[in-house]
Amino acid sequence: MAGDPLQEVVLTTKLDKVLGWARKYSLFQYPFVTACCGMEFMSTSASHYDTDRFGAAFPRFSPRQADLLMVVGTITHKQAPVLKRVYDQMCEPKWVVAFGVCATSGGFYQNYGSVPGIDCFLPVDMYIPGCPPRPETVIDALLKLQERIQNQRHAVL
Amino acid sequence: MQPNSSPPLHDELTARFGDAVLAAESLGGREALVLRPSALLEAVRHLRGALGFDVLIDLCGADYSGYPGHQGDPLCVSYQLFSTATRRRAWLKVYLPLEGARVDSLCGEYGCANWYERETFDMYGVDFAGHPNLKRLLLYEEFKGHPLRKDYPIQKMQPLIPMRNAVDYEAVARARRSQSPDEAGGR
Repeated sequence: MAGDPLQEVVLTTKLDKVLGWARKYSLFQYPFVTACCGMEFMSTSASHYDTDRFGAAFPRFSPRQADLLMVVGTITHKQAPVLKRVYDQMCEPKWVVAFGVCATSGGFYQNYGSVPGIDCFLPVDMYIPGCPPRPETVIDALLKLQERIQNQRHAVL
Repeated sequence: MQPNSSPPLHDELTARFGDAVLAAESLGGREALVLRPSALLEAVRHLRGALGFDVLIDLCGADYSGYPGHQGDPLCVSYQLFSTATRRRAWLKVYLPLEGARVDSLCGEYGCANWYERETFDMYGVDFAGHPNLKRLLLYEEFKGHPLRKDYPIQKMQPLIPMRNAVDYEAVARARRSQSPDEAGGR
């Protein structure tokens, strides 16, 4: 419709898409770092790999200001209630990433002390394999998470 | 390398404490003196005071249940002492029964024994008599049992919060045992 003046000045989309687009580029993450994966996490978020260029890694050290929980490292049974509490303190919408095999499945720990994967008590959106994962793997996971956020339903009231 | 100018500790301790030294075990070129648990504190006081072993390098537990060739009480507490003056080392061991494992605390002699003994209590359930604050160091207070003992089920977990999806490794192990009787006896 060449004659429609609105088409030249108005973009139409869905509310979900707009919210998804906004949210995926403003992920505020809470790094729950417990083990050696933390070193890889640091190199990923520092200037060499710089996850911030994806709008996906602004660290907040209060769960109340974060919407992405990065669980980086082994979680023990002693620590599980703490992590659960951190998760409960985060506001919706929130996402959880299991960083490395220990957070994913317990890794090579299968004993009295370790939780066999944080999905035993948290809903996990993205699992990152590796012991520890390469930064490229982490970035790949973040991009996949952004894609998921873009396409998911964003309930407004 | 260890200077060998002074007489062996075995002889020194035997001469002073008689039958307190039950045996000597040799491992990796070093000798461990197995002491009667009731004589440990006196022997350590002598080692620290008269012989100048001023550092407690390490203190740890071990469970020798089912260990090939081991006889007698299975639970072991192992002490590594060092003298900064003579650069000598001493390796002491006491063996304790699983039930009512009790040995004197070294906290009065070496301050650093405090946390070592708490860890050993945590993992092996050894009661260190005279310890000022003998409670779990690493595990949580709700934990039942002592996980590094051989009789603790190797995959038994004691979660503090409800766990879903968790693999019941004990059930898996039971199922595996019932499938292949050959492996039933193996640890």
